Amino acid sequence: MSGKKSFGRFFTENAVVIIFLLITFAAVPSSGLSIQYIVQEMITRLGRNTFLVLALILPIFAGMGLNFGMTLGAMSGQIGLIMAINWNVGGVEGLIFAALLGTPVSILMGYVCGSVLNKAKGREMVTGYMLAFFINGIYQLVVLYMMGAIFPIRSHAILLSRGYGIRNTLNLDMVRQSLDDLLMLKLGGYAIPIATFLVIALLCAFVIWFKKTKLGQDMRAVGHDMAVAEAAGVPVDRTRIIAIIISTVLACYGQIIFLQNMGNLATYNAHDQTSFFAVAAILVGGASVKKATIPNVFVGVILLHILFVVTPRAGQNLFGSAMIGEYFRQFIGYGVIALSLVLYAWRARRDVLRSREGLRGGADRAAVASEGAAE
Amino acid sequence: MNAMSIAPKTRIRRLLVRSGIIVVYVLLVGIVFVLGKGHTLIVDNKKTLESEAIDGIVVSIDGKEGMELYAGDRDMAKLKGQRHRVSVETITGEKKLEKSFVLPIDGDMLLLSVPKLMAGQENFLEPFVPRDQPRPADEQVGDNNVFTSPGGEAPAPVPAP
Repeated sequence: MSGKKSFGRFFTENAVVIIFLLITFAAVPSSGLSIQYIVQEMITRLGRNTFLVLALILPIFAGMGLNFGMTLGAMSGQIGLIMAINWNVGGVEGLIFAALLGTPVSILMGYVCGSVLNKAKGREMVTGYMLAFFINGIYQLVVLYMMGAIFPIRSHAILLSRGYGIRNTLNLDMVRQSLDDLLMLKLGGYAIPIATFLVIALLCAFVIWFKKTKLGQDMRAVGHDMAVAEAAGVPVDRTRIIAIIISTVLACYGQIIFLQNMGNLATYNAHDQTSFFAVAAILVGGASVKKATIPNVFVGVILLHILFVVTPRAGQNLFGSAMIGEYFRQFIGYGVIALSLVLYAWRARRDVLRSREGLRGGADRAAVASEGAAE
Repeated sequence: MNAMSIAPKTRIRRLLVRSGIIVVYVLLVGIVFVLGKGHTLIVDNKKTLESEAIDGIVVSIDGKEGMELYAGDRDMAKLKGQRHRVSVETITGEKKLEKSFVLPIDGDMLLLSVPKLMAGQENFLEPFVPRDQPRPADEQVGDNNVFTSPGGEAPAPVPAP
């Protein structure tokens, strides 16, 4: 009985990961792709996506849920990259230049986002999602109408023919894979971008260190119970804003790393699904709205991207159309997020019921004990 | 602690530190800009008013793989940063000249005239403005969302056959 219970508990705790593993095991053989190809793709995609997904950890730690507002950071990173291309700054210096220009913008965006989320405590995720749509409108206004008209643009190659507004797609040849190629290790037929992984390792070390600092402990307290933290003298609103600012700045850097690997920038929609795929990845890795760890990030990126790699080919082989696989990607992404949120809500309700039952049981025992004493 | 309770000395020190951080940040942006600034260098071996083109030379920038140029030839190199070194050799490997030069920070495209360089003229480097460069056409609208597609126009309907 207890074995059954513990299995049930294990399944409900890790339902998303288990379901994902099952789908992956089913899809890999049908794709017909070699293990070597899949491993190389995983190495590339780990380097490309992990930084972005790591940006989600601190807001979860601070009890703000999944930061869909990280899109704001991604937009800041893109503005930095547009400026780097505009001023013809290339290589790793181009990436640093983009990051340096994107940082103040992302700090401002993070502050705005954090302040808005403080007004919507308890509904941070949906508010962040909507806020991202709103800021997307401002981004489009700036990039589509103000750049070239109000903000001077030197490079005619990135301007639309009408003389203002940035082109739909920018070629990032100047910075293309400059971080990846900085220190590329060829090992057993695999190319491993050591420099990119070092940057990711640095961020992991930062996250671990940060959690041990006073501010990190404040975030933990705020995440655990805002009222108690407030009573203990922790500046709750300020701490939450800092968590979102850090996440937004990290998302800015993450988007720059992502785009340098891709080699081109879809100016108007590259950021659209940044938060969506990052959130899906961390949830697939076993994280929840309340708890996320660094291993969750790595497991999630690997599992999600294995499926992304194999589904188009599996779709092609099984149904004669790669589009089925493409559809599957979207379906899986949204499905994972929905499933995680539903499971989280269900678990939270179950825990409340259990604790209520426990209290009732305790009250009954106390009543029996008092009756016995009276007799 | 509110702003009123901060001692004036602390306030000034805080202001100075913050201003210092901003100055260092701006300096850092400037340094990265100078180090990473890209230039396109056209290496030109055409005759000029004062000097003749040279037949059969290998021009190398910063010790990279040389460009083999005959009279009237032109080649291109992508450079990063301001200070560079050019070396000119004959096809047979005999060294003819080696010279350092600094590219102007605002020059995206420059022309290095080998005949002028070999003649010892100082103006061997000059800005290059391509003539009649056709502007690349704007992309077709990538999706149906007009708002996110610059140009704001849906593609023209294809006439029925």
